[in-house]
Amino acid sequence: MADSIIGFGYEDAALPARPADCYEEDSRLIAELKANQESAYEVLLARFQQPVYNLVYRLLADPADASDAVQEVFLKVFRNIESFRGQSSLKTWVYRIALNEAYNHRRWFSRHRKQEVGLETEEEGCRSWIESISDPARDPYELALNEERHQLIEDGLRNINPDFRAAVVLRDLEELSYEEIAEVMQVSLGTVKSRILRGREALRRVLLGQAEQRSTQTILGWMQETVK
Amino acid sequence: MNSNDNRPTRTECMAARSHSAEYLDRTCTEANAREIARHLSTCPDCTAHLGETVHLRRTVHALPQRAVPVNLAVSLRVAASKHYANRAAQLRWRDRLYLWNTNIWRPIALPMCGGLATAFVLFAVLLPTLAPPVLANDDPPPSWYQSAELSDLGPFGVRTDHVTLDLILDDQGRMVDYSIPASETALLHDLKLRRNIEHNLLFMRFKPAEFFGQPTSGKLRITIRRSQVEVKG
Repeated sequence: MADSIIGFGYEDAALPARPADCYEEDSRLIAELKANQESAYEVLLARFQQPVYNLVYRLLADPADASDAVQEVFLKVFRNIESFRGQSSLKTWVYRIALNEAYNHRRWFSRHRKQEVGLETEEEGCRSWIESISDPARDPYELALNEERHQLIEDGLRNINPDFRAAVVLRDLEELSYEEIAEVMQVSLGTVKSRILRGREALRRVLLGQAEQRSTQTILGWMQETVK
Repeated sequence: MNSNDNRPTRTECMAARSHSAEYLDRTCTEANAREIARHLSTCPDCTAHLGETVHLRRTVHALPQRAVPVNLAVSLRVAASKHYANRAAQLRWRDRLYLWNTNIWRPIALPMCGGLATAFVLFAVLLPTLAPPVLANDDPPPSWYQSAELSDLGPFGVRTDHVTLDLILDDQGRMVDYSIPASETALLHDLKLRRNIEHNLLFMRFKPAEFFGQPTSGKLRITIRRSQVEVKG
C-alpha cells in the first residue's frame, strides 16, 4: 500500500527534464547576443516573450500593466546582457528580471494608481470573445465552465500574498525547479519550499472561500425565485 | 502515531502537511516520502487534503497561456531592433577609435612623449631660477610702490590749528614744489601764515617714494595740526 501511495500525485509532478544541450543553446545565444547578432534578438524574443508575459501577467495586481512591464523586462535584458556572467541559466536570469520588474510595477501601482479609474471595459491582453469560442470541437458548456474555473483560479492567485503567488506561479505554471525558483527569487531553498507550501494552502483557502460564497449566493437566488 | 488505536496524531498530520509540497514535487528525501506515504495510508483527512492540493495544482497548471498582445510583440521587436542598431553604432565607433589609435596616435606617440619628458626636465631645472629671491631683513620690501614718508619735522612751530598741503618731492626726498588745496581758504589769503609754513617746509626731511626698491619722485599730502602732522602719500 505504502509504495502505491508514494506515487500519490507523482504522475503530474514529473517535470520535463531539462535537456543537456539546452545549456549549450543558452551559452550560444548569450554569446551571439554579446556579439550583437541580429538573429539572436529574434531567438531571445521567440523563446522568452511568451513565458515572461505569462509570468508578469500573473504577478501584477493589474494585468493591464503587463505589456509595459514586459517591455521594461526586455529592455533590461538587452541592456544588461553584456554584464551577464552566466552564473545562472539564461532562463532564471530573465525570470529574475521579470520578477523584479513585476515587484517594481506593483509598488508603483500601490503608490500612484490606486485612485485611478480606467475607461476601458476590457483589460488589455485579456482573451476576446472570438478567442473564447474559437474551439469548435469543445462543448460550449464545458468551455464556459473551464473559463469560469480559470477565472476563479486567476482571481484566487491575485488574492494571495505576492511572494507566495510568485513561488506558486513559478513552480506550477512555469515548471521551474525549486533550485531555479530560489535563484529567481534570490532566497534560500527552504524559503522556496515554505512559500510554495503556504502559497498553495492560501490559494486553496481563497478558492474554498469563493466556493462557499458562490454556493450561498446560489441558495439565496434559489430562495428568492421560490418566494416569487 | 498513537499506538493504542493506530490513529494518527495531530502532530503527525501537521508534519505530513508541512512536507506535502515537497512530497508532491518529488523534492523531499526518500525517508520523508515513505513517512508521509505511511501517514497517508492511515489518515483520510490528510489524504483528502493532499488530493485537493493535487487537484488544485493540476488546475493551476492547466491555466491557459495568455497570448502576447500584438502591440507588445511589435514593440518588443522594435525595441530589439533599436538596441541592435545602437550597439552596432557603438561597435563601429570602437572600430573608428581603434583605427584612429593605430593610424594617428601611434606615429606621434613617441615624439610626443619625448617632448613632454624634455619639457618636464627643463621645467624642473629652470624652476629654481624662477623662484622669487629671499630678502634679508634690511632689504627694502619687494612691493610695487612705496609712498614717500616724513622723516623729520622742521624746527619751527606752525601758527595755525589745521592746514593741508600737497607736496611734490624729488627722488632725494627734497620738496620741489607745493600747492594749496582750494579748501584751505585761510592759507590762500594769509601771506604771513604761508611764509611760516614755507619756512617749516624748507627744514622738513622726507624719505623719497620707492618703485621696486629704487627711489623716485612722488606726491605727498600732509596735514599739519598744532599737535601733530598727518602724512598721506
